[in-house]
Amino acid sequence: MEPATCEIARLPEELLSAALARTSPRDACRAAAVSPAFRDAADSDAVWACFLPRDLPPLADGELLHPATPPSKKDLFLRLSDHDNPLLLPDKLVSMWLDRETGAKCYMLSARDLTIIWGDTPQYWTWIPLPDSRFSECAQLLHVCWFDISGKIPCKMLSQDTVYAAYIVFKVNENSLGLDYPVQEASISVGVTSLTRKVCLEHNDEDEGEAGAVPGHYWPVRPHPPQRTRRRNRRAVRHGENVGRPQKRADGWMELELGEFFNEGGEDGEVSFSLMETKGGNWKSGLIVQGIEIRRKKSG
Amino acid sequence: MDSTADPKGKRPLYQEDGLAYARAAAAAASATAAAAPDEEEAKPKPKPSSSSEEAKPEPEAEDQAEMPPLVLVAEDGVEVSISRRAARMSHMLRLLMEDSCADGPIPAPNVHSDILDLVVQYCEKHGPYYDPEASERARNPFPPFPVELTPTVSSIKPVTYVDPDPHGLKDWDKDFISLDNSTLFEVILAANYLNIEDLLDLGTTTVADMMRGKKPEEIREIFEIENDYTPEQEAELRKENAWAFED
Repeated sequence: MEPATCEIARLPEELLSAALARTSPRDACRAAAVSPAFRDAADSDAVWACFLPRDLPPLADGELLHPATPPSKKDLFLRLSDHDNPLLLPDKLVSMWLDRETGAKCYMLSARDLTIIWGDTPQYWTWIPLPDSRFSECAQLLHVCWFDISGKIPCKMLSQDTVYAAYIVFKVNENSLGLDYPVQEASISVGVTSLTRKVCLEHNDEDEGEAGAVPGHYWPVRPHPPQRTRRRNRRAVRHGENVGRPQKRADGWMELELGEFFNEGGEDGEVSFSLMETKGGNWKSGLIVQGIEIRRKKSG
Repeated sequence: MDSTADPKGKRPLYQEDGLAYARAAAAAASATAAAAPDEEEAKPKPKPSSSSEEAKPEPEAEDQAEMPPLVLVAEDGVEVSISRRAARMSHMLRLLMEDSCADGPIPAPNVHSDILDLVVQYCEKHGPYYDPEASERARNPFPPFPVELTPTVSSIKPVTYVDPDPHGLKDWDKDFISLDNSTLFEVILAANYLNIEDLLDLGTTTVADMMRGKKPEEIREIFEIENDYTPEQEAELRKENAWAFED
């Protein structure tokens, strides 16, 4: 091999690694393609140990397979940051993975880990297995008037100085009712601070109808204020601009953002999330809930 | 002799039993000491405006004040002196001072005098504010990633911006470290040899900033690196790390 003539070759590998450790996982992977010397530095444990969080939660048995040779830190990071294959925590009700860009810890609280009002009453909610979920069960909504799902996670489980967002991960089947109107309220609270916004689980894209108008198929159980008009035709409801909408995920499920928060870290306490619709009094049905996902929110 | 007022912050307090000898010795100290007072003094007591590093009166300061600056000998034979207080920033020199082995010239092989001058300049600048324990605490062994944009307004917890840099060191550092690549690497190597963690941090972070977000070709260009991969090797690497190359 010809002697290296470039100046950066003067730096011993550990100093190059020290510099790479201050970039990001993505940069370190790219750096490996620069030259063989860079690859040795970029793939070293010194670099990837810095990207791994200091405190990983304990995992369920068998989640991390241990081959004969222990994995390098880079392999470990790549395995932990595989969003398509999250790892289960020992209670098997929560799964976790690392955000590949930053190493921030992300979680999904399964439906069983959440507090679903009337969730244990079989006429209202049932629990069904679904093959495309990491968890053994999902909650299926049969009918309920009081729609109230909440969950929480200790702040300590999250990564410091990170902006997170919480999403409810769900599916809506064709026979759904009452999920498009009235809109639900999503809220997130950290300590004494709480933020609430309006969201809608079933947002129809059609433009017919006035924003916020009461649809014809809306039959509340309790009488509603008389000034609302009823329409004869069943129309799609178009909500105002500031109502959060669901997005389709790559894994085939839908997700709806409940809100975001900044986890400064170093605090005891929890972050709580909730999704509720308890004022309208109408029946809702046709929802399948996998859980609530908490992941790092990209800025901008 | 009164030192000129430290332009950046409050003047450090004098030791209660100010020593004329110390003052004289410091006055005779080499010109490498900048406006920062070398004289006998305690470290600045904590004040509301002081940096996040907690300053405590240094027990060594009294001893240091009496003693002349250290003399480092660069690879080209040139002698560079550094005040004791600034020398504390180097773990190696600190140990030598504690073991009282720092009286004679200290060799710094493989470090050219120009580089040594730069390193000493850094230490003299940072020396007055240096607290080893606070530095250790602040040093995150897992360096933080590039800071994201500020959280959006709708985030719950307000971010309180506390300026940890009342002495203007960040700006000074930024100017200081804008060096050409060759000098930068030499400074890093020198900081590594002398074990000056803060300067090593500064240098490696600067190199990291130059690499962040760049493609391999761009990194090669910046650092004039020869690509000694075969095309097949490079293709395979890109495939293995495919996710990193998706934009």
